[in-house]
Amino acid sequence: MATPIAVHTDAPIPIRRSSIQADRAPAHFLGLGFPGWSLVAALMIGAAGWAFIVVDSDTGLFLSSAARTRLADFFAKLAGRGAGGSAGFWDATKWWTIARLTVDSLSLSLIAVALAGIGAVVTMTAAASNITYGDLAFGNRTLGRAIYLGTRAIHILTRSVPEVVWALVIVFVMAPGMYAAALALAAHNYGVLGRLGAELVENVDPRPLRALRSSGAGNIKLLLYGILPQVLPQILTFVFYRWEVIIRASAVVGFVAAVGLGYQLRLDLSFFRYTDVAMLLVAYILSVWLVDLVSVGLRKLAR
Amino acid sequence: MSAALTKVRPSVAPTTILNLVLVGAIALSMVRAGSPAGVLNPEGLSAAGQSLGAAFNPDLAPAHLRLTLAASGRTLAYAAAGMTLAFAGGIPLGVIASGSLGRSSRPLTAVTVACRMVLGLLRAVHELVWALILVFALGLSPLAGGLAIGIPYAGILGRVIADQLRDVPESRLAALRASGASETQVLLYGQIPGALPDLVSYFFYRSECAIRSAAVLSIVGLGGIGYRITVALDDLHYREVWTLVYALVLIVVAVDIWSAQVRRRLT
Amino acid sequence: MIDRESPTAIRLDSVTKAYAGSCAVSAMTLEVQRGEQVCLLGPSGAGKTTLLRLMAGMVEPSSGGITVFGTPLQDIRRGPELASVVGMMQQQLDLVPQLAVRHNIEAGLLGRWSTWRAVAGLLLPVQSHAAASAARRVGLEDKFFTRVDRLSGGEQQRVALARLLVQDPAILLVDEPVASLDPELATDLLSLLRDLTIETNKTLVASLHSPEFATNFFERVIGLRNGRIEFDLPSSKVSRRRLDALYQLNGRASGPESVSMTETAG
Ligand SMILES: Nc1ncnc2c1ncn2[C@@H]1O[C@H](COP(=O)(O)OP(=O)(O)O)[C@@H](O)[C@H]1O
Ligand SMILES: [Mg+2]
Repeated sequence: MATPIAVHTDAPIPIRRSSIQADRAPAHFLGLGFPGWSLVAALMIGAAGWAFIVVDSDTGLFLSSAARTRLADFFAKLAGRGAGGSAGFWDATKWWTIARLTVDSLSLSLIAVALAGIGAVVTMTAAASNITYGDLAFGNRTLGRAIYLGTRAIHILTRSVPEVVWALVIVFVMAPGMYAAALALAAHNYGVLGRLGAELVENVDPRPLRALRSSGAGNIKLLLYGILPQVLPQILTFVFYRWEVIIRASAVVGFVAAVGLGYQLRLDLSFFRYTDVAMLLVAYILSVWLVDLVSVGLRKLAR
Repeated sequence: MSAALTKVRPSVAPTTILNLVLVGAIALSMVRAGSPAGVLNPEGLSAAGQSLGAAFNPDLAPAHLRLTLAASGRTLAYAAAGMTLAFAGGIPLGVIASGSLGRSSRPLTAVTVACRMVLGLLRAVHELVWALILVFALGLSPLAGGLAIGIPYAGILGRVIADQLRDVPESRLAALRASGASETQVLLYGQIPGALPDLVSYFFYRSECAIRSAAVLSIVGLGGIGYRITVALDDLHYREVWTLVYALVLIVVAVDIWSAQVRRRLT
Repeated sequence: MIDRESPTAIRLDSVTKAYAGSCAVSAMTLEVQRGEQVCLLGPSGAGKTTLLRLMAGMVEPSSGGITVFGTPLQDIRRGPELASVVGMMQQQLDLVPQLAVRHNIEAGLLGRWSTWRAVAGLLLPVQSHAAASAARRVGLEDKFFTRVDRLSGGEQQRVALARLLVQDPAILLVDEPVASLDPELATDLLSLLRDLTIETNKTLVASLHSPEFATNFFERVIGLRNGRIEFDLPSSKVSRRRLDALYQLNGRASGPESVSMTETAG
């Protein structure tokens, strides 16, 4: 029950915080075992990455005065100084439009959360080995194994494709808009949640489930009366937590699928409307924080 | 006979009300989104079929392979540079935000809170949005790519570092405190060694994510795999698309295996 | 078709259940008549749970055969059919802690309910008459909508009993129903169990490790030790000496210390 749930953004794997593991720490790094050398190698690759960037960039990083003026100029314009002035910040109708776009983004994220959550809850049992072909299985185990492998594959596929790429693919077959964007966000997060849900189901207390089986419950009844009551609180905390990831990604999906704050951001950037860009960023960050707050509250309640 | 039963009604829990509110919000969102009728675009299906068919026949011409290699190198460079930056920025910010440096002094508490807010700000903005903004500020420079990964990832790493340092069990630190160690010494000899294995394994897991992010964020024009994919898609060169996709999968799987090895040895 | 009127409810024919290395039940032959109330008595590790699970069809015997009302147990389809013949209440109860008493009791009906009825049961306030009356019968009507994890151990025990009641199998198998209850609650529960069995005309096999309860509440007592039957007697004929033997000699197989103990006792 007390699985620690990592709250940081976008981590599908909760970090395990056992003290056993912590106690073994120092030896690795004094002797530089495989993990230590891997870290060294990673840092060297990082240095190589920077070397490439320095060599490749003609702006000469921040060092050239041209680059510095350009940067300073950009921030000044964002803050509403220079050409165009700060008129936007005092324009109530602009804020009103932005508020509507924010609501669009929020609605979008909610639809996506609902789709991903429902999809994951419906399929997570099919991706749990104990129920499909393990000791709690019922009926044909070969078929169960096939279902297990198929569902796992779908979860892996959907979660390894990032939201934006889903959006690029989906606008091929769907008109850009709310549904295309929601589907793109939902697809990736469905995979993440489905995998987490399957793990929860695999770790569920099997004894009540055996009792249900022996009183004649089939798969659906087992799910309803045994599995869901046990895992729902945890799967809900994951779902609410994914909501934070989704609202954050809704901006980028929005600018591919033409909805919400993301789309407007793209337009305003391409028309060099700097004050509008700044206002949109403020609205975006506020909406991410709002969802963060609500989600933390909901996660506390769900537990 | 059932009188005793009707007296005791099922009580409505606050969570039930909340769930109803959520369901209502989702329903309203659907209403806002309008009818889903007509959003399907059947012509797209044939294009989709074509593009899927190309999956078995990726473009392996030397010229395209060279381009794929260059795009992969660029993507890797953004990810690697971004991760080092995230590491360099996330560690100090995370350590300060954890509040371990000075539990007693007041001015430091303000710094701690400020650090936490900065971390929140950095990670609130998606890396692709950072890329968009940075390309505007810096032009199409690869620096934008490195920073677009580094900035939000520093926010995420910093937050995780802060959480992990705070979660090192007090029992581990009590002995150090008892022997008169200062807060900094407790941090160096107690908290950091305690949290290090988890942090290193998290760092490697995050590196996988960084490669995926780097590939994707190059679509704003930064020349990585994602950018090449969008260009090839626009030209309807589906076979080229798949070569690029396979290259990305290859890199991600390689890093995935490496990262799994590291994590396996750490847990 | 299973003949629930057949006079022999359960028959074990030299049934053995071996786990890696040890025999939990060895070569046991046993008959339980329809309508009987039998108590399996023995120290922990004697094989009571394993024997009950064998009778419930939850584990397969390593060798030997089990018939229920004349039908081989392995020929009865798992699911609703088996559930209507034997029902077992496990020692750990196996309730779903997050669900209300009501739903835990209704879980016993799942074998007979359609899927739609099961969904409705969770979502709508349409309680089943059977569950309500079972709750009343075990004295839980005022806890009907309470979550099970908010109940005391004795109350949870009664929920599990009510679930078994609504499942309505011809044979009730009950594993250590009073292990975690204080004597007063234990007396209540055992008399409830006995009355219910008689009322509903069922066969009862229960396991206990307290000789007093065994002889007070059951007509037939089977003493088990190390997977074998030590005695099988009407409860009036169970003597003090036999009980002492059942418990004191238990350790024979488990180490040199207990061997010397048996020598001093003998
Ligand atoms: N699943 C199992 N795996 C291995 N050994 C078991 C298993 N179940 C029971 N046993 C062994 O069988 C013996 C009898 O156990 P059990 O039937 O639970 O006794 P009781 O219920 O009388 O305490 C014990 O020695 C126990 O260790
Ligand atoms: Mg037992």
